[in-house]
Amino acid sequence: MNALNQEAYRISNLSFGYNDEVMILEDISTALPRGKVTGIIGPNGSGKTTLIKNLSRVLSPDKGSIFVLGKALTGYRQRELALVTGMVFQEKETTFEFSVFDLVMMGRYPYKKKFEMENDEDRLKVLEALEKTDVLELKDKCFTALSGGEKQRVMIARALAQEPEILILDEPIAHLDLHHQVEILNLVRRLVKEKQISVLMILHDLNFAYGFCDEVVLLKSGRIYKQGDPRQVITKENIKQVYEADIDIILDHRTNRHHIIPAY
Amino acid sequence: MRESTRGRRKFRLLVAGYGLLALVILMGLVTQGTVRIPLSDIIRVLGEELSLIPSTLDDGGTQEAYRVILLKLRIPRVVMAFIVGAALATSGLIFQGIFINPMAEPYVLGVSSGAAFGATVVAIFGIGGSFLGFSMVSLGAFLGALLTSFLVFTIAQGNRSNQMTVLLLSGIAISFFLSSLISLMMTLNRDVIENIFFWTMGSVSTATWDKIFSVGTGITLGIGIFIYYAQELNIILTGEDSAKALGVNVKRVRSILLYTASLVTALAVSVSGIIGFVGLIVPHGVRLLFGADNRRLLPLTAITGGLFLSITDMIGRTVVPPMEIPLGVMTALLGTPYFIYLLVRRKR
Repeated sequence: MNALNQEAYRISNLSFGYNDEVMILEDISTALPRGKVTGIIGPNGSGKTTLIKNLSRVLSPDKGSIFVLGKALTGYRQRELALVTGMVFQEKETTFEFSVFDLVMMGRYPYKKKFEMENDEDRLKVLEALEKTDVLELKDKCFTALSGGEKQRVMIARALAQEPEILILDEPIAHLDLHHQVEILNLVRRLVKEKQISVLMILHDLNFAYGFCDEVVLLKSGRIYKQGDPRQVITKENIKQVYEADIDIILDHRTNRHHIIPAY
Repeated sequence: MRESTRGRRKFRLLVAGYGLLALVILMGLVTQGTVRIPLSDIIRVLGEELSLIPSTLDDGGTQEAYRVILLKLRIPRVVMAFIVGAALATSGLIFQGIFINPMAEPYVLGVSSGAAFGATVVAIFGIGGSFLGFSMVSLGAFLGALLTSFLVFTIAQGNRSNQMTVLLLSGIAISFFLSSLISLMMTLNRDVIENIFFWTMGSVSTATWDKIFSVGTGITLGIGIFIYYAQELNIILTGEDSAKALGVNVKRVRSILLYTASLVTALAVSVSGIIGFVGLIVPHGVRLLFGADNRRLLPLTAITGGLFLSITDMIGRTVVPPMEIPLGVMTALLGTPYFIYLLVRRKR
């Protein structure tokens, strides 16, 4: 029981394929820690997005089982699951013109009964979420008129308004400039620290994965190649094996930080 | 903090005001026709009919003639046009939402040509009689619309990875196929062309109170279901996967809305024939003016669609008396310029 309390997810023998011939995920078994930032890394097509879609029940596993906070994923009602996990996907964005405020208010949907009006508490949560992701001044703007980075931050705000215990992010900093990349990752760290939520995010930038994650999962062709402390997982040898690319890891003595640079 | 509450109250006032305005406009439409009937007479006839005021003595037949024209012809026609317009516009709005495609419209999904096909088959095989006040041709149209839309949805469901594209393409393909069959049947049966022509052009000239009550009830229920799922539809529009993550049962909401919208369209088409374009331009026009929130759009679209069609019908029946310009022709002639104006105005 105690072990379960430490886990956000427990995954046993998870397999998934979009058709019968090619499996995208093959026999994955692991536990993902609770109250930590877990990064999912791996080359294109290694199954990162498919994995988080299975964890969020957007896709259903072909084999195996998933437990969320100690309870079987299949045992959650849809709304109940939405109270526990919030997600931001890389999706083809809407062409319909919602205002930023209305869009983020949708994050309160799982809390509302049919035809129940949004109350002051909902509005407060929405404004808080907008403030945290630094898009408060855009609240009356039309979503379609925003830049890629602003849209990304609004979608994260919506997931925050949902007040989930687990936050799943698919490349949350993909379209952001340097300033907002660091801002979002710091926000993620702060949420984990202050609210004890668990974050699971797909990252492409190995430097950020190295510096911001408590734990990383390195995927290779639908299997977990290595999992654990970033310093143990993101090594020259592992990256060479999985990405077929050479990197150097350099220690900056002034800041005592490691920097990963591709060797070419 | 209060902005949103105030916004909602303002919106309710807007809808109430708009509804009232619509009522006044509809009354105005009723005065127009080959015989002009003054508003005071309309109010008197309505008042007498509803026993609100005592019956006046007949002044030599004019009153009685007005009564017949109003109660048997003109009011049913205006009301029918309003109901059909509201039905087509709201189901167009729903189709665009569930397919996340601004092009979606009853016509594109094969519903309209299915209706015309059903009507044609009945007309050619000479199946007469009526059922619950509907002619067999109406029933044929209704069944044709329903069967075609279910066929299109079934084809699309077989292809899981590319549903939306398959759906629109199969809808268009089946539309063409049925239209060809209709042309073929018309060529082989020249004697019933007139009858079929009616279906392909659209008209509310055969409106009766019976039709209004039965079709109107179904359509009102349908629009109620649309409104019930409006917020879910909003969320689905922002991304299917995210909608699931927010606790929306995407599959269920989508199929309920899909089948309801098909039914609502089929009901409308069964009494009016094919009236294209209303399902496309009215929702887009309202969206351009009021934003994307379907909770707001649905009531506004229903009223606008209703007004648009009843005004169009009034113009169609009065400009070149005693000829009537078919409704389907009028909607395109009047709707297109305004729609293009909205599109251009927005660019700036």
